[in-house]
Amino acid sequence: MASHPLTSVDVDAELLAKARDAVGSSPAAADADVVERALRLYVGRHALATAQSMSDLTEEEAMDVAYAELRAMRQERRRVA
Amino acid sequence: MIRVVVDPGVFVSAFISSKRAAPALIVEALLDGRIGAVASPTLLDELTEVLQRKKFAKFAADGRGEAFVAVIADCALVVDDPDPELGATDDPKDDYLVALARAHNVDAIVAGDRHLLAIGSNELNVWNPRTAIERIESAPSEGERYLRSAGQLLIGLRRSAAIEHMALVVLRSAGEALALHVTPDDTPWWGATHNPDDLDAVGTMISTINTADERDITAAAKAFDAEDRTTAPLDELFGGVLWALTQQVDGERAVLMARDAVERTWLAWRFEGSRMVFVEETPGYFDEHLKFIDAVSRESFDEKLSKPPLRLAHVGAPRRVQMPPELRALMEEQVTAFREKFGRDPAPEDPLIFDPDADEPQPLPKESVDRVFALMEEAGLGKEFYQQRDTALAASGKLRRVGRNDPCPCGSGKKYKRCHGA
Repeated sequence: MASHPLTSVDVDAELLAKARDAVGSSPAAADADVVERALRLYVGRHALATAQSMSDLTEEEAMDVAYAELRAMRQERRRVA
Repeated sequence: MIRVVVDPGVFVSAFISSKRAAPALIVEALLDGRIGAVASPTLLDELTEVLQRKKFAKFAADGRGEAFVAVIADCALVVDDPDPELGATDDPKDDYLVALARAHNVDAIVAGDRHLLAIGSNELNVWNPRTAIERIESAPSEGERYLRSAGQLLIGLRRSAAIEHMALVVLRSAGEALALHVTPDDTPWWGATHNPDDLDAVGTMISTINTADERDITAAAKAFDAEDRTTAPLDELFGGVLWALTQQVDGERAVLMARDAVERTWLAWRFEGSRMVFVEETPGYFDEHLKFIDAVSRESFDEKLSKPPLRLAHVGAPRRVQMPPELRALMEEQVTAFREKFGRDPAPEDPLIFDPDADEPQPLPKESVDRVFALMEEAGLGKEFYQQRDTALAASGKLRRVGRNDPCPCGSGKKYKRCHGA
């Protein structure tokens, strides 16, 4: 992961405890890690849901396209190398 | 929890298909923590690069592709790339996935690629996304899997004879206490017949019995026997067996009861107490013990009062031994599970086997203990284990009842029928 500038926030302690439970972080995990994980999950889920909502592909079509592009990418890499 | 390596093609499919499609359900299971995934820098690089292709521009725009890869990297266990197993598949570019799966001993690779699907074998599963979802949905919950691991540990303890010995120690102590209890004799009898290593534990048990009123003992023991053995401390376990003997159960039943009670109590023991079960079987210990229990359990209290204290003649003293490697591995699994669940090392007062549904370390509740035993029965490793062992012992002549004309186990020199068997 690329490193980005950091910022500080105050978080409701009870909310943080609930977030720790929701994201499955261990009791020993640092508060900052819990918040980052919760946000990353939220942003990632949102991105996934948005992308999926744009799709009109069937499961088989999506698989075919995905693997065709994966193979194409690998072939291009090989040519460049 | 099922652990898999997910082919980047499946991740891409999940991103560009409906949320009900099998690849999307796999990603959802990963984000929910219902499965574990192992990924590597090469896998994440491929995923990133494919999502940057023109074909996926509308899906991955506005940072969505980057956010998707970031959350995958966050939820997966990201490890260094192992050396690829060249030639593992027809497509050399898939070889790193096979190496990754083998290096981390995952349950399967999830792939839609024909080269990967073609290599599925007993040694390495390769599931298509639909099969993977079926496996995930039919897999036991994390709590259930933990209970299965507890069952495996208990089976390991049975096989090492540790449970058997603890049961015999408890039975012997209970039997001796019973003999002492009905005899006005202050001799420190137990000090002569027990290994000094066991004295602290046995002494605590005995002093509890010896200082308590008979009615208290009986009441506590009955309550223990009738209600909940899973949280009973060792002295209550001892009391339960003592009660069984006062009820004149026969030797075999007392042994069965003691095994059951020790196993159930052991599942609730603390780390500091679990070491007590690791004693080595000594030749003669088992059959001498059965003779003794048999003799004690045939007597009534009134009859005992008229006889000298019953003593064990020569039984082998249990010795401590190193834990067998397979049992050590099972114990270490429990410690690892404890660390993962609670984020710290277990303390002496923590339960060795914990309630997987509790937020703080707690012993298994009774219903979970029952479930452990049910799982062992389902796996064919339940009560028949002891039945087979007892059958083998009986065939070898080690397990036998005291005959009426045999010397009495109390060491009086009289025949059993003239002494404690009268």
